[in-house]
Parts: sequence; C-alpha cells; structure tokens
Amino acid sequence: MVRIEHVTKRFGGITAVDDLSFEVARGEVVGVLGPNGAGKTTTLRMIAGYLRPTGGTITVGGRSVQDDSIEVRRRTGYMPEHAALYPEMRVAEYLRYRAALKGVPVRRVRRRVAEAAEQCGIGPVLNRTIGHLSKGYRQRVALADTLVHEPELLILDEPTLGLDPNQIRQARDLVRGLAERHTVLLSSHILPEVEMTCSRVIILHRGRLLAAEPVRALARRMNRNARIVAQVRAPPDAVRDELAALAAGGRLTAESAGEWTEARFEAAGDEDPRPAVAAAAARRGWDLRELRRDAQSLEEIFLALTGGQAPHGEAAP
Amino acid sequence: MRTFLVLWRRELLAYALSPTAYLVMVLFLAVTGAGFWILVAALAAGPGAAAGATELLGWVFLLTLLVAAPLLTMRLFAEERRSGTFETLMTAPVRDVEVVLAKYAGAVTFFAVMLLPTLAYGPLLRAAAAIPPPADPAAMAGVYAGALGVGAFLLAIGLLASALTRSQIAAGLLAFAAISLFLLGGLLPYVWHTATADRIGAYLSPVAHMADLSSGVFDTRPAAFYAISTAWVLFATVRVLESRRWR
Repeated sequence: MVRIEHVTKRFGGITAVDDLSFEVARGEVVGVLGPNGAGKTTTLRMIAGYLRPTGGTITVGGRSVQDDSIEVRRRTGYMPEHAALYPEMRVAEYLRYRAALKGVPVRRVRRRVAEAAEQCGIGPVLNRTIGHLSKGYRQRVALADTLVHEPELLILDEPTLGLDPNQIRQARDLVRGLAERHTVLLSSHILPEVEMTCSRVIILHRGRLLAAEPVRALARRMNRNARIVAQVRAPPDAVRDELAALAAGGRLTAESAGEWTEARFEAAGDEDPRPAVAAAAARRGWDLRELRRDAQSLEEIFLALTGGQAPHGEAAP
Repeated sequence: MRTFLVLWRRELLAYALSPTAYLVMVLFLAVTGAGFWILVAALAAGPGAAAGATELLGWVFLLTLLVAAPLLTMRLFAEERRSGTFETLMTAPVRDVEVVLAKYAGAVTFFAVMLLPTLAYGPLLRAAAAIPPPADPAAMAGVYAGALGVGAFLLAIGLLASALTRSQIAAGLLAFAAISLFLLGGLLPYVWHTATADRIGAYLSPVAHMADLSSGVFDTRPAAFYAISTAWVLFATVRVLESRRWR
C-alpha cells in the first residue's frame, strides 16, 4: 500500500529524514515510533503529499506521491498532529465541506458525514460550533474528516496527543475499529499505545530507520532487562529461593518490610516473568500485593538498538 | 471546477462569519459616504469646484481601499498557516492554483458586495434633488468596473502578502506598504511637474483612470495594466505556495 524507497528530506542544512525505506502492506496497522525530532511528522507529511522529499520515491497504492499527488490525496486520509479545524464553522457544516472538497459525490455527502460522525461518536455535537468543543471532541471531528471520503490509507500523526486517559482509551478503540476497513499508519512516542493498536512498528531515530518489526518482537525487547518488582507476604529468604530462577544471572534483592517482602530483579529471558511470579506466590500460598514491570523506556530501547551508544554523529558513508 | 466552487463557498462563509469583514464594510461605507456628501456639497456650491471634488472622491476611495484591501486579505493564508488548517487544506486533493483562485474570488466577491450599497447614491440624490441631475448609465457602469478592477488588483497584492508570512499583522503591513508604493506612483505628477512624471502618473494613477471612465472615456491601456498586473501577482502567489513544499 505504501512503499518508501531511499527517502531523504533536508530543510536547509538539517537532515530530517535520512535514506529511509520501508513498506506498509494493505490492511496493516503500522505504528511509527520515535522520540521528538525523530522525523515522524516529516515522514508522514511526505506520504500525505504536504512536503516533497529531497530524494527518493514514495508510492501509495502503486501511484507516485510526487507525480500523481492529487489522485493519491483522494485515496488518503491525513490527520495532522494538532487537530486544526475552522473554529467558526459548525461540525456538520465542516464535515460536509471537507467531504465535498475530497470528491464525495453530492448525493452521498450527507450520508457519508452521518456515517463518519457515527463511527467517531460525534453525532451529539454535529450542530455545535467547532470553537466551543472540547479537545477530545475536536480530535474526533478531525478523525471523522479523515474518514469521510472512505480513503484506503489513513495517516494519523500522534492521534492521542493532548487527550486525557479516558479519551486516549476511546481513541485507541476507534483506531482499532478502523483497522478492519483501512490501512493505518500512525505515529506516536508512547510505546504501550503502539503496542496496543499496531501489528507492526517502525522505529525512527534522528531520521533513520532503527528497526521495523512486528509488535511482538518489540514486546520481547521491552521485556528484555525489564525490572520486576513484587511484594509478597513471606520471609525474604524463601522469596529469594523461589524467584531467583526468574532473575537474570540469579541476581535478586529481597528486602523485608514488616511481614511483607519486596523482591526486585531483572527479567532473565524475553518472556514476561510476571505470570511466573504470580504462579509461584499462589503455589506457596503467599499473599501478593504488588507485581509490576518497569518496562524499558523508548530511550533505553534506542540505546539497546544502537549497541548501547547514543546515536550521536554516526559516520555516514 | 467543483473543487474551486467548494473552496469559494467556504471563503464566502468565512467572510460572512468574520467580525473584521463587517467592520471593514461599515467603515468603507461611512468614509465613501462622507466623501460623496462632500462632493454633492461642492457641486451645489457651483460648477467650478466640481473638478477638484471628483478627484477628491477618487482619492478618498483609494485611501479607504489602501486600508480595506490589507484588512480583507491578510487573514487568508497567514491565518491558515498559523492555526495549522493549511496542512489539512493542502493534503486534500486540491491544486495550489485552485486554492489561490478560490481565496481570491472570495475576496473579490466580498469587495463587490461591499460596493453594492453605494449604488443607492444616484437614486437617493435624484429623489432628494429639486432638479433631477442627468445620469449616464454607461459612465456609471464604467466607473464601477474601474473601481472593481482597481480593488481586485489591490486585493491580489494583499493575497500575495498573506501567502508570504504566517503572521496576519506582517501580511497586513506588507500589503499596506506595497499598495502605498503603487499609489505613490500616481502622485508623482503632483511632486515633479515634468512631462515624464506626468506620463508615469497617467500610467499608474488609479484616480486618473477612474476620472477617464467617469467622463465616459474607455482606455484599453489601464484595463490591460490591471488585468496583467493582477494575473502576475496571482501567479506569484501560486509559486509561493508551491515553494513551501520544498522547504
């Protein structure tokens, strides 16, 4: 569906995207992951036809974004990072305008607006002025806009940015629902979010592709060296004996806090050791009052991916 | 074509919902109305004052436009760029030229609507006067076409200024400066009393062009001048939009 080949984008002397290549197959939900300034937005903007690459080629559905831009844009729904809408317009009015602009036939405009509104749960606010809506509703209006012309490809730049946890959950469910009918490419700098919605991730760092892998592989990366904290009602020695096998190199600290013991260790393998901890506690009849995994942060994964070094000044050939 | 119409409608709606647009319209009518009143008063005083008074009304009209054109156009691109709606707009299947022409058509349409109430001046005068003055419909049509043409050119300058920056104020000031420079060209004969200055002034002065039209003279040179200049400025605006993709 999307094929990016050796794409580079320079702004003046700054290279925002550097020789990037990846593909997204039809029906996939792919997350573009990276810290701020990794080139996520620039990449998505180039696919959406807003920016032109300095070098390389991008095709969407076999059409060149550079040469056949209008046709590509007709088949693409793009939601920029900050849902920017015309505040003076009413929601339904705005969606009808956008539908017409994106070539939805006149007699279908009303139906498509109603369907997109239903899908995004903005039916109740269709007659409200956009400027008076909450951030969450505005985000959903922007999403309804990207869907209204039934595009094959959806490009969503940080779709949950600035939403509260409840709204983030709703947005996530929405995106998962979209996956049934569209190919979705979304960006995020929040790992768990991508883990929950995407089947595959593309990790960018400083404009370069660091990894493109199924989300399961990413989960394994996250588990690797993840720090586990468990609190059980048992003596520290017994806890140490029971859990040492799960810890990397058998290193484990067990501190007693009253009649509770807090065990801390790093996971040994790629598997999440938490179920094993819970099972051990159950087998021994210990009460378990806390069990958590401090997963590696995105930064730590980047460090791991670049061989333990911050990817500064990599020698370019 | 449908894309253009959809965009144009949205521009008209934006004017209809903009307090600034109404304010500009009211001020424009107040100032040109005052100018018209002065003209009538001068004409009533005697035929000798008439020539100077017509010119005065021409300048009043242009000075209002000097302020009105930047105010009506500074928002057009600058605001979309600042708020980010520009990105949503330009990733829809629209051509740069369609966006420029639709925004421009919206501004010119609003300007034409702004001129409409002044059509009442003639009938009002005739109704109020003891001896109805003679009316020349052709000259009237000529003057309105001229006013629309001059206005359309100044609005194009404002549109270009708006495409150059994401600050509305900067766009407004830029348009104001550019239009001032253009109007100064028409003032040259007042400063230097030479044949060259007169020639340049005759080419550039919208007041002279409108005065010709009001006396029933249609000169193709100013018509061509405004048409070509407007087309050129709009073309430059399209190029400015295109250049954004490369930056």
